[in-house]
Amino acid sequence: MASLPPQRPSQRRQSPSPADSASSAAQREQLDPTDSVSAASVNPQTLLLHSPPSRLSKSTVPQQRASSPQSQAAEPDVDPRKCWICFSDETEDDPTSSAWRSPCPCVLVAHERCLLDWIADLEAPNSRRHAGGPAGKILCPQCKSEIKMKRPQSAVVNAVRRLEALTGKLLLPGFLLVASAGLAATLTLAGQTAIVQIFGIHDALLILKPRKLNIRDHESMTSLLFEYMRWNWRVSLGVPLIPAVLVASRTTWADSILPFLPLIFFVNSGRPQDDLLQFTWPPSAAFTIAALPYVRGVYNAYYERVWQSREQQWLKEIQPRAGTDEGNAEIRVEDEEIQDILREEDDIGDGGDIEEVELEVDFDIFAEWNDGGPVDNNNAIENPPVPIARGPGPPLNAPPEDDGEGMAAPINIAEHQHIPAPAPAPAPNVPRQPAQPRRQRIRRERNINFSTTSLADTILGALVFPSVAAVAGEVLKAVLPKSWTTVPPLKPTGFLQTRWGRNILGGCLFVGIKDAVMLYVRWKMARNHRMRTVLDYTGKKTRTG
Amino acid sequence: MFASKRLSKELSKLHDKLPPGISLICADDLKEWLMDIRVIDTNPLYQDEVYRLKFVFSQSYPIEAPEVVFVKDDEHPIPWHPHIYSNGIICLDLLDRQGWSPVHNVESVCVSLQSMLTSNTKKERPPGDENFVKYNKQRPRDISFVFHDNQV
Repeated sequence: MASLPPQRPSQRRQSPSPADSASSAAQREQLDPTDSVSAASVNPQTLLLHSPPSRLSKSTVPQQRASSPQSQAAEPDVDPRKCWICFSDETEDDPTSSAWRSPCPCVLVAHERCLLDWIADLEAPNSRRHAGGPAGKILCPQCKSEIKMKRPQSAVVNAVRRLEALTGKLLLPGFLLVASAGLAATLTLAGQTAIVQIFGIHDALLILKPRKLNIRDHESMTSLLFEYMRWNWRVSLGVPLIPAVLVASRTTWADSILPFLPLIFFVNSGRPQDDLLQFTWPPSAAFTIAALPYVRGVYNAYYERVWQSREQQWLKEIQPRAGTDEGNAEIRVEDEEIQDILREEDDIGDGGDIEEVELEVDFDIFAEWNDGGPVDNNNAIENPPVPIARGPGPPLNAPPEDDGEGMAAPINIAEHQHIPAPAPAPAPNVPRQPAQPRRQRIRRERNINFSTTSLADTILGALVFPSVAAVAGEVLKAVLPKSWTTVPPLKPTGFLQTRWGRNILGGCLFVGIKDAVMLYVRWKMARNHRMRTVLDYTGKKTRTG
Repeated sequence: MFASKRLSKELSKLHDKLPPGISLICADDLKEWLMDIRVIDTNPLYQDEVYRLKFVFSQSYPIEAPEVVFVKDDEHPIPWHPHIYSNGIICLDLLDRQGWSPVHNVESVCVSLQSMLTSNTKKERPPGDENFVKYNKQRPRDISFVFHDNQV
């Protein structure tokens, strides 16, 4: 703001022009505030207070004009007062003009009516504030001191104003609350969908069903809520966490906490088969899921050690080469050709390996779990079913029964499958590991960038993953021998006999196979890249121009 | 009545005396006036140019701010300024509801704009000028500007 207008020659100590002198002098003598209400005011019950109280005055009233000649003598003649709002001065006042007010220490004076108009404009009600109300203090535009008003107070109006101010303040928190509730609902829904897809509708209902509450009649909502959360906080908190964890597991953000998350939910859950220290065969659903983060960690470490450098190399190879001068280029080309050839041999080996490894390992798994003599057969009887699969009771609740006979084998298996997982980087036995840990697929997301498409890709991919796993589980069911996937008459005896087991394995396999395919594509692209040539044009050349 | 009384007072004062660089072009009625301003120092951005301002007063003037825009015609360009859109709309707080108070008047607005130009060194339009000019159908008084620059 550049400047205020030049001050009008109005002054507070001015004296009225001769014609009006008696009148204004008379005004100054009027000290009775009740009389000073100007009939012309917009709000007749509002009046402005002069800063010097002695200047409360009344509009011109003829019979008072001559009442106090001495005050005229007290004020030297200066310019007539001039209203800073309507710009008319005292000389133009007529009986309908409103009183003069000087509400602040500076030289600005104005008609009360003008001031009230102006203030009414400042305080005008709007769509938000129906009751209007002071939009803060009213300040003199010149000296910025507060212009004080006296107005009748109405309890109702004040209450509504206060309420509207309060709701105004609550607007943002309220919006955030609604938005976060919506997010929570969405996450819960996604989590429930994931559970249904992995465990099937029947078991999912058992998992998600809230525990029975002891509801006494007199209990308040709060204590009911408390009671509910006390018994069901795992489901209430855990279900919305599922999609969040799925997304987090595609990135590296949560690497440090992911392995411990399941512990919070499964350790000490009071359900016997949730005890992580108890290895049974087939593993309980809780155990399996709790182990997944470790499996993921191992697989990622494996991928990083074994494949990442190659992948990057392959990627580099298909980049255009730039910035080499000719001689150098030739040498390098030769050099690279040699290297390429060498590498090619390597690669072919590797490439073959990839698939071999995958296949082999896959078979390994199946062999170990279902086919590998001792495992399958021994387990067939002595191992507790994964309770979810059939229990009518609460999910995961059936206590594992061990008849002790076949314990040795299952434990071995369990160790083989899961115990290596927490190890930081099992370099030596890497080739053995990949099949199982194959569920995670973050490597390519390692370098998180924040482009919206990649963000959407990450989130959508994570949310779709349970469905993909479910499809893969169904495929497994269709592909695998019936004897592996059907539950024997008594109880489930193998990992793959349960729907969730197949789904989880299916998800792992999907990740692994996807990675394998991607690696193959990279390798193939790199290889093909070297074999490109540009074909000469064989037709007849035409000359244009 | 309120507005016209005050405007006629302002008008008689403008006829009487005007600050340098500011001239009254047309004030046929008490609703719409044209004023010319030019920058009187040697700011190279505005050298030898005269800008035409259009004031539109509402019935509630001076409680309500007048609508002030630069007008473009053959002799009068729109001055370059980071707060003046190329369609002449001015983003200045004293012309906005919050910044306006009846203590301002036509002359003071002209002086403010003059000094706003004088102190400017950037030959640029506000960000988003093109879109704004293309899509804005609002009258200047209805636009809610965000005043972020306190230096003008």
